[in-house]
Amino acid sequence: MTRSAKSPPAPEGKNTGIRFVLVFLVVLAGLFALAAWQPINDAVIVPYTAFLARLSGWVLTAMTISIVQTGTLIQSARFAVDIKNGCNGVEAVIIFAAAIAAFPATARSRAFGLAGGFLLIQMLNIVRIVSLYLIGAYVPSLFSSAHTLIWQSVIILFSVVLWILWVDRLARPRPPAQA
Amino acid sequence: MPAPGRLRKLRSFALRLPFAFLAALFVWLTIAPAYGKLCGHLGVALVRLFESPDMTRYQIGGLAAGRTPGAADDSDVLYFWPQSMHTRSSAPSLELRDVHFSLVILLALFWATPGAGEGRAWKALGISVAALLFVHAIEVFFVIQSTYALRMGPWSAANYSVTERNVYAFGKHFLDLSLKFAAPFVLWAYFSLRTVLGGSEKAEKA
Repeated sequence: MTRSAKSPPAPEGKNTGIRFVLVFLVVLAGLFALAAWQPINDAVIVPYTAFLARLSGWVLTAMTISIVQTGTLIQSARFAVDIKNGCNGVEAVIIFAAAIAAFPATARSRAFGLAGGFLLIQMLNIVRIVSLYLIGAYVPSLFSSAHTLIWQSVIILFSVVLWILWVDRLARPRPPAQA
Repeated sequence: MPAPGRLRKLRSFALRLPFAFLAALFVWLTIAPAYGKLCGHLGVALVRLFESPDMTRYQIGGLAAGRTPGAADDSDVLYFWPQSMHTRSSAPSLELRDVHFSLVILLALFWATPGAGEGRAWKALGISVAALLFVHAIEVFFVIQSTYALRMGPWSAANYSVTERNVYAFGKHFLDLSLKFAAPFVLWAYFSLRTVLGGSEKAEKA
């Protein structure tokens, strides 16, 4: 196949692959440390998780399911879910962001990819929270498998597909620096 | 727009992914008991590398009935305890499935990739599974060490400095919430991204 001028810059050679892995791991650890830092966790992550709980509560209410939402908790007489770190989609977004940072691209395409990826991953995460509430309320025996096995994997695989689409459609090599 | 060959490969990958996920889930459920035991043994071996003399005692499964009458099957539970602190019956525990289910993600990604049946794809998968097993063993190491450093009251404070406690707590959360899921992706990207994107002649021939 002849690659066109607009083909994405697929990693070529061992060094490029190793560079991708190293940058990915460094950015991943850095972003994770930032999100786990207590002041950021308290000022950003917890309020954001409560916002997700509110959105999920609205969806459940729109489905005529009677729930009470308080902070990160969604509860009813049947079941309650407390959305914790690891369930708020932030970790999936961090993995997606690290992958975007590690792949050669322009700042513009990175920004577009990050914004789009964040929105889509979080939309899927709301579907996940709502479905987990419903599974917990109506088929509790499946809750543990659905929570740990199925949804965690689906969110990560979805993020990978989004990243591949970003690489293929939007990522471009950085323009050479002007002398 | 992507070239037609590349578009075909991307579509093929996307279409195969749900089926690959189901196949991966089935295989993981089949091998989980053996793989879990391997993770547990390797994780404790890593812990013991940093102990002199060995103080960690452990057992995989076989304690549920003694702890909780009528308890569920615990064949995938790692019980661990420092010899001087706990007895078998009061040992902390770790569900090994929670550690190693990210193997499903790795298998799904590799098996969804065009050319997954070829020799070099299997070799890449083998290397990746070995690397992921190591990541899982490191997570077991951090779970055990963070339990020792943070959850054993005065014994923890006497034996672990504040820095050690912070390092083990961060390591445990980083592996549990992030690296465990990121590792399958980065291993797959290292070996297979060019195949999916059709970026090399070799991959194109596949």
